[in-house]
Amino acid sequence: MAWRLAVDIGGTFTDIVALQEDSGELHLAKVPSTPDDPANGFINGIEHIIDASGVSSSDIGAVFHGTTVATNAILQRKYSPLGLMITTGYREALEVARQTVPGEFGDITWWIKPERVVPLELIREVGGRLDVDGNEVAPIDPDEVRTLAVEFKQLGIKALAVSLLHSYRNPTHEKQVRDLIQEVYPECFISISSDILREYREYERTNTTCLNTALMPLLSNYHEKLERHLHGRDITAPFYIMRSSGGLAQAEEISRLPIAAALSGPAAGVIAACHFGNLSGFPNIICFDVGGTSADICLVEDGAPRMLTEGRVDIYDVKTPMIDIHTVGAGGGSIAWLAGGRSLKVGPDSAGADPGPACYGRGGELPTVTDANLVLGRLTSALAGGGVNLNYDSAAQAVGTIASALNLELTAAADGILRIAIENMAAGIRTVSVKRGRDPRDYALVAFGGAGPLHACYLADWLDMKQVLIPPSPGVTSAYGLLLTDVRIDLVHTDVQREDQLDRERVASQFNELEARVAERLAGEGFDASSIALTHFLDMRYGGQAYEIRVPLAASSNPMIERLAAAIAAFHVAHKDLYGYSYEGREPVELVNVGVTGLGLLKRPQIPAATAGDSAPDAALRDTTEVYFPQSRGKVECPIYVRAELKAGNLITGPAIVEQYDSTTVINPGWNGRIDEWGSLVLTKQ
Amino acid sequence: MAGAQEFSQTYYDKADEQTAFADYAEYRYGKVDRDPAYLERIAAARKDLDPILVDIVDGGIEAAVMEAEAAVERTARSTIIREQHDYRASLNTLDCLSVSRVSWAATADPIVMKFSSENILPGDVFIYNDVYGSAGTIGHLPDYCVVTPIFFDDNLIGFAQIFGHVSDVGGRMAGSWPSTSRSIFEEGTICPPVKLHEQGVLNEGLYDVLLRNSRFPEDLRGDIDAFVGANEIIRRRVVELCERFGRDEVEGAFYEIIDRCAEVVREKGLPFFPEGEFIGEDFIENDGLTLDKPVKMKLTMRKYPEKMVLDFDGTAEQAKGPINWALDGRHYSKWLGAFFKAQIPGIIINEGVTDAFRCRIPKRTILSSEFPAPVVSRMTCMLRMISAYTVALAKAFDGEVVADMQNIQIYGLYGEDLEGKLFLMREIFGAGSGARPYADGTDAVDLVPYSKNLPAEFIEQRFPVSVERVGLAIDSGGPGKYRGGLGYVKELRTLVDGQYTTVTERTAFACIGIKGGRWGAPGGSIKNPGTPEEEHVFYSRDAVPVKANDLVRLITPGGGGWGDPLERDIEAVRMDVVRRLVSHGSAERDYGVVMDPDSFEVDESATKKLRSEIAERRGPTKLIDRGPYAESLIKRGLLEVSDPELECTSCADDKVLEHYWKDLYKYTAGPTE
Repeated sequence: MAWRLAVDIGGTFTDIVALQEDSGELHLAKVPSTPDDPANGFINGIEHIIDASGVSSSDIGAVFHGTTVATNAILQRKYSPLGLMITTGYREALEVARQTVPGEFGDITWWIKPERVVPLELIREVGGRLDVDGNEVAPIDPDEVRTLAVEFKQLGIKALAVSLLHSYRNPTHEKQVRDLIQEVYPECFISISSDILREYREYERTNTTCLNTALMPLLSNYHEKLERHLHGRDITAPFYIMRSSGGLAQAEEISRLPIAAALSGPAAGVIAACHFGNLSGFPNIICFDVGGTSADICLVEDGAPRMLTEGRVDIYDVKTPMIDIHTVGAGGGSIAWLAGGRSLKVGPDSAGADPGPACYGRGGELPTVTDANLVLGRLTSALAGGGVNLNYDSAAQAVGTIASALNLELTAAADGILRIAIENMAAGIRTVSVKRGRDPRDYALVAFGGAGPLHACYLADWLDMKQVLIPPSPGVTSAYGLLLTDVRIDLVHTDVQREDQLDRERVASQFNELEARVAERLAGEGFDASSIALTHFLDMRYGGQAYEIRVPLAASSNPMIERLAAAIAAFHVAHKDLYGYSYEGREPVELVNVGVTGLGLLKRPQIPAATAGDSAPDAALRDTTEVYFPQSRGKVECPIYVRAELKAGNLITGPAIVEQYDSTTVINPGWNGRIDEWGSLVLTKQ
Repeated sequence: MAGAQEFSQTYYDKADEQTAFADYAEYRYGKVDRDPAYLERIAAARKDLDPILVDIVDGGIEAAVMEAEAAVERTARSTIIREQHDYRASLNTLDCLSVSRVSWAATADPIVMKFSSENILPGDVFIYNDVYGSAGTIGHLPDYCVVTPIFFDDNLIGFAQIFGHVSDVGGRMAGSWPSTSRSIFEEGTICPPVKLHEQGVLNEGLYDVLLRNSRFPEDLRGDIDAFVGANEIIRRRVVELCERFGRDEVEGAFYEIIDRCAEVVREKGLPFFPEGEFIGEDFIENDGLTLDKPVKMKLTMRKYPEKMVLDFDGTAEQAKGPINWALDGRHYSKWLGAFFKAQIPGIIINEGVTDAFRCRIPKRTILSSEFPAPVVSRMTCMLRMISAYTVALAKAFDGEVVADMQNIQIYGLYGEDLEGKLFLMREIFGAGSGARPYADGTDAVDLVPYSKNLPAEFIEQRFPVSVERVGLAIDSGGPGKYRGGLGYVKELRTLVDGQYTTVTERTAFACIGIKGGRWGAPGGSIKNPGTPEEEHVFYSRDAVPVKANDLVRLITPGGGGWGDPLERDIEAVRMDVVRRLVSHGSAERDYGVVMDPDSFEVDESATKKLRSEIAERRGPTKLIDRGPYAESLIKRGLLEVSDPELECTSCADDKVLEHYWKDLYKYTAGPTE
């Protein structure tokens, strides 16, 4: 009787799902998050679900965890002081960064550069130099490195990053430095840049390596604390952490490579959305995960999300594989304000969970999206099954400040706030769809997170999307997603070669080497050959460009020459697709990186079908309420249904409200809802 | 043009405020007729326009422009566009007003002036770089501008525009940037406004001509294709907005967005400014030909209750060398208008700013040069205009303004690579930004948002160069209560023989310190520093020869300091020394902080004593500190400033001029005709 436990820590709640692998028996729980020490929320959650489900320790086959510990440490700068060893001449490389001022022209006058990950006084230069081909120009001086390591030890620095020029081409020097540090300071946390990111561009590689190093002590301690607790409960099952890439890694690996989990949180939601989309027959979806402060948006085609090789975590550009999730600062807690005294804006500032929206009655006075929803009747009196009571008068008062400043009626102001929030969300959806030449109308919107289902129909109307899917438990969808993925390792190697001067043997041997390394690591995690899947990819560009497009190298027994030709053809197509033109047949392509992704395949749980009913949802009808819809130019009466009482086959005609423990769904006029066999609520525009 | 004298005598007069703005027409080169029926339709559309719809259209346009710029960045070939973000996309109304917030982008005036409306058709794409044939919308030939008309239901509703700085457009020098040109014809190929695509069909012949005239035709084609593709993105987005909200509503929203900018400037920006007349001056180091003769930029800021005028009377006449800037007052207003952000952070600057803030430009100055005067280094005017404005603001606000900065310097290295192919490695360098009345300046940043330097690992892949140092110039930030940002240092070892070129300012003049803050150290380049062959090179130069294995140290200037350095927090000075941003010597000399050279421990009593000694020796601080080069020239009577009593004179020294003027014409032919 193997059970899987999944724990997803969010800003407000920690969600726990326990799933019986064979029967599909499922238990859900929500406990308050403990931002001061997230480990406590995790531990409480585990205790809570074990009590509630009666699962015994020995029956637990694996524990999965999606965490924002790394993200929050970065956001709040709560990481360990660290030292950096860098090639002579580059001491100030982090200070210079890319000499970039964000924003608009003129912003240089007031913009202040955020703190660097490592301050100058903790950076030391080390001799030794490689040329662009990785050949040694000057050797490493072992004594110099040992002396520096001892100096850092005496300073009380517990973590060291090492980044040397051209190490992406040849990591020997960095490895040598690492070994020398370990010799004299074995307990030090060390990461070397060629291990973290084997790609060219020294600033990005160094910065990513430094962030990784900074997080090592914290994540290591965190994982140790969790594992200690699990072991204390006699839970000895493997413990997996979600990576930003949507794959899992053993906690031990994330302790070494915490940067890979920098965006662990939202990745699981996308995995779950793909799963529910596929089950219900929607392989092409746009995931729409809305919480208190932000909406995480992701475009999915053929059942799988697009991957990125770099992204941003707060102020830092980090190069680590991640699902292409676009985050916009529009969530339930987003604050409405007037720019220049007259332009209505919503977000990106959020009232968060504390004080929260005005209607929470916890001291928040600023109008938020949730307040606007309450004023419009889209939310009724409580959230989280009564965990949070909503105060209409406080919401009306807060929204009233906007109404009087703009000389609008209260409902018009509330609708305005909602429209702006919806427009922000829609812009996010256009960024991942229209911007890439995809028409959102060809996709189903999968809405989840506490506030996703509340805005889904409105947003779909806005974008003229015809289908919306609300998973069975939208509020714990992310936790559920942790149970639906595999262990994943991505390795990349930079070697710039032109198509017309390509050394195919070299490419083939690089693939072989990466493959061997990936397979070895997966084997080390207990996967046998039959449960390891390897895929290959290449990053390419036209000569003269500086950005690459990643294309798969198709698995086949064909000779490498043919496989490469197919990948190059795919690059031309992708370039045309993304940027409107290609130089196929006109210019050679540059191969920049070769890479291998390895999956350690985990057994998928069985999902039981939902209880069947007839078309009438009457048994689930709880009440009616008045809701404002812009197209109705006023409030209209709507039935309120209880989601838990709805059965597969039930049909609902909009306008209607569907309430459940973890979320509220608003079905707009002109939309019909149906509970499908998997328990998802499928909304279709008439 | 009304005489400046007459203008200033009556400037408090409301009537004259009208005159000043009526006059303005003369300073907009673009003359676009507005059809009364069009204006009527727009006015009707704006009557009941939903303000929230305007916000949505505004957001949609912003997203479209960003999307277009991102596409250019990812696909363009010229490093100066791709890495250094020297390009701008924008959206124009039918009468060529810029709606989007990239205020200094080009406008579509020359298209509308040259082509009748029957001749602007769906599928057309226009291209030009003709400085003197584009109604003052493009500043130099390397900026190719691509304009795509936007149609909705067969009606022309506006234009998408992108211009960007390409690698090479021919002319005398690799990179098309001679610092010594005497005519625009030396600076590259001139393309008047013409159709690159006619109703969707590429004019291959024209394209061939343009590409054939570039030393790097593949780069140029990549760039132009990227521009055309990006304009198409903007066009599509605007059409989508019309489909959703209606054409009249969207066009009405364009004008509403422009008027909002004007209102915010009038209501939130101008009330900050004291009424009165404030003169700001600064100097371009030279015109590229006569190296010891600085060129003056002068402006007089006149504040009226609801408007503000910058009058450039007194600015130097058109230069022989390429420092001229040939745009019009309208574009200058938008360029400087962005600096309202120092007063009102977050303000959106578009065409609307010209409703409340205008520049008057006398004829035939460096800001109104005439064909065929050379213009390629117009950047010098752009930056000195900001500096002169800073000085005027300092006077208006009693020094409570951001200090001076010079955050664009261009260095290039060219020659034949190891395979005998022409290469040009060119990089725009940032520099230290000016200190603020509340914070230090920022080290090594570029004025152009999102500009990026070139990674060493990229440079070494592409060019026969080894990058030996990337860092900051110690002691370059102007000392002050708040220190100016530090300049950028990069050391290149060349692996082949070649030449390097500099387009630099503030190699002799310094970034100006404000309200007791000191000048920032000038930049420049040093060949083979620390060797017997060490050689300092100042000013802009076309071709400084280098041999294989020479080391070239390139340095950019530090930003001006703000406030009395003796009031700087002692711990801040100590940390600067620990971090090697400030030397021990400077800590003592400039900040009066005494510390142990090894332990960095501050001697509190010695510091107190030294600070009071320095204060006594120095006397009261001055509002403006231009540094030794300017002060020496002023002392010798070679330069004049308007309010000398406000200016620091402590570092005038003839030795400074000797240092700069030794071997003045070693790498420049000289002023002779």
